[in-house]
Amino acid sequence: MEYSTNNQIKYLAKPILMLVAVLALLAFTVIFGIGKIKTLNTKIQAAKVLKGQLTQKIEILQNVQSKVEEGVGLAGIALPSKGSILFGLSQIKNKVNSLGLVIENLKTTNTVKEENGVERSSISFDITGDDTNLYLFLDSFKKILPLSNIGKLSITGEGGVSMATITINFYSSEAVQKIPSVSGLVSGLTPGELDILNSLSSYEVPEFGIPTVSEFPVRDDLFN
Amino acid sequence: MDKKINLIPEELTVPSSVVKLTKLISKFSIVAVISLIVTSLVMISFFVYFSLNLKNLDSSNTSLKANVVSLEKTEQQLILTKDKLSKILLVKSLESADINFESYKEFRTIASEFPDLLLGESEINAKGMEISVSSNNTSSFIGFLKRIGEFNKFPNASISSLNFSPDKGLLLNLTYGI
Repeated sequence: MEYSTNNQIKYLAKPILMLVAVLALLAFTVIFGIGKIKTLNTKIQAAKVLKGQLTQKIEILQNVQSKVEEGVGLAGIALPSKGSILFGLSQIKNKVNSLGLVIENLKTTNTVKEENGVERSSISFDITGDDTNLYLFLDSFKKILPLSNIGKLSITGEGGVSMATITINFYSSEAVQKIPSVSGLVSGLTPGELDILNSLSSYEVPEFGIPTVSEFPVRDDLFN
Repeated sequence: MDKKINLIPEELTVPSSVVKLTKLISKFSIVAVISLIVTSLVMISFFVYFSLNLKNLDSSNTSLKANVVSLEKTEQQLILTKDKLSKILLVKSLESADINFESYKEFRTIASEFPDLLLGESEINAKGMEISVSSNNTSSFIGFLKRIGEFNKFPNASISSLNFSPDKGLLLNLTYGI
């Protein structure tokens, strides 16, 4: 009589079960291990990206530090958050006095909203004086701060004396309220922006109450 | 010569094929156990290496974030400056009478070449300008009209009126750009 099939299965069962258990353990180790490593790798890649962003941000901020310290004041004077009309009046008064002109019928208008948060206030007045000085006065608005321009002008003159009715526009804009999160990207000053800042430095600032920037924006996300 | 002596009854003897298969499975099991140990060690090494790497990066990022926070004032100033500069560009692009005033000054220079010519009231705005000129001297006036043909600062120019009065002479109203 031969060794029965049942006994053969029983004889083989133990090594087969051991092999299956080891293989299952091996598969689990590989799948679990690769999963964990993949997760870690994803975190490492994200941390590397963040590191790159932060390094770049620090570099940008350190590079622009001296320029923006000066620029923020100048840009704030060029386009004040409020009160541009007061600075404008000061500039007009100083110009009129220095050029020996006579000003009458001075009126200010309500603020009008332009695009992108920019607001316009206007000052209208009649002005009389020597031709040369009146034209110097009108030309001066191209190079004064706060930024201004001539809205409309009616001029007449005779015998070296001119009289004009002028509307001068002055502009203001609310300061930005938020800055990006700590890891949020910022970009430095572009050559175009540096050119504007450099050109603004040659403008005439108002004599009274040079505005200081007190409305610094706060961080968008306090926890990041 | 060796001889195998089997004292076990035949029905209790495991067939040699089964014994061979068992030995083969045992060998596979040993290989699998070794693979398991090696794989586990490799995985643990990778895990430790990656964890340390991540820890280093995290601590480096924490210190960088502290750096960014210490530069917060500069960041605020930069954001403010950039915002204001973009709006300054906008303001500079807004329509105004400035450009037309420059053109008016050129017109005035041309008019000053004719001493008999009187420049009357001029209206200048963002769209263009309206100018009135008068002269008692007809030849001077014609000379002026020829000369202002060279004044091409505006895409369109028109004569809105031309009058004559005995005391002021010829009176011309010109419209540019409007």
